[in-house]
Amino acid sequence: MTRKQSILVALISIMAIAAIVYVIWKPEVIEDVAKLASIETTQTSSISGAIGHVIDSPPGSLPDLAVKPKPSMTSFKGCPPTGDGGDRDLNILKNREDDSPYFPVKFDAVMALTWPKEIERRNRNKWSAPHRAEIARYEGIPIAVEGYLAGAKESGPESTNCHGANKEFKDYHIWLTKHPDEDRSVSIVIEPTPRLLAKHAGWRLSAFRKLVNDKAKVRVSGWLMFDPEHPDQIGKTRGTIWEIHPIMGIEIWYQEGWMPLDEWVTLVPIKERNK
Amino acid sequence: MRKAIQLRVMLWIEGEDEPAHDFAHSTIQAVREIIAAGSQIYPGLEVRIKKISEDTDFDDEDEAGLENDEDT
Repeated sequence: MTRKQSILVALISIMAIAAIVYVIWKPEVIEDVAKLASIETTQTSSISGAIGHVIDSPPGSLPDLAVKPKPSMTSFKGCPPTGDGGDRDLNILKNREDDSPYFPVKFDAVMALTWPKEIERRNRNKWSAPHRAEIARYEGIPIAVEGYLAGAKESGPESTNCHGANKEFKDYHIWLTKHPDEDRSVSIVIEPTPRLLAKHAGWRLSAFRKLVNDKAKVRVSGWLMFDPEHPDQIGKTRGTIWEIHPIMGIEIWYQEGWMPLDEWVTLVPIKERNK
Repeated sequence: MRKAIQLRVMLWIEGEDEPAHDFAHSTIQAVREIIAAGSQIYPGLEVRIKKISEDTDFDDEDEAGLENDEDT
């Protein structure tokens, strides 16, 4: 070994010892590393399981899918999947109707997702390629998340639904929280779209409101989607701008098992509102 | 004295249109023309449109739409 190599080895050794001493002295460094590890994804090459069902495993991190299902492109009562304006690429995602097996993921795995500031309030056709790739890593993953509903309301006319003024074109905005009694400032927005509402007789606003009042534990399945439109609402009417949109399934924890909402509404009396 | 005011107006517009036709674009144009035509009734007022855009902040409303049936 030359003299130069000896000095280099000595320097590396000193730096390694210093790093170990620093970690022992400051244990929060280990906690930070653990936090980073907790938002890591699970390596999964493909989706396997029964269509429309939640994969039978405990909720975990988001899967890192190499290939994701392409959104279906169907019209609804004359309204194309692109809607009638606005961000047409986003509308395609919101208007998908294809079903899938769903990966059970922890509530916090969605809340931990980030995004580049530059794409907030910007249409997708104006995003840079790296930003597009960053969002595409997670967007379009079929997931199932457990939680509680903090509120539900019918939305106004939107470009996604061709600004339809009638009830059949309105979607619901629903807020999913990790714990009961939390408000929507820490929620994930979940949306059943008109296309899905038409397929599920039990998905009525009164039923969702009953779940809110009952503080019922629910499991929501659907497509993970990024909506850049309302970053200003974080901490007010939502906890993140990542959404489960559209939701494809909703189940209620009832008598020691998960029961689909369509079935639950036939067992539980629900008062309809006049307005 | 010369006076000025900045008004924020919220409109609800409803009408017939083809499903895929850009309703936001056409109604914004219509409102510009309605204001231009109507301002002639008040020649003493100079009306300038600063911004017209669709309001998509439905969730940014008060909690009124969130009340739930306590007696269900």
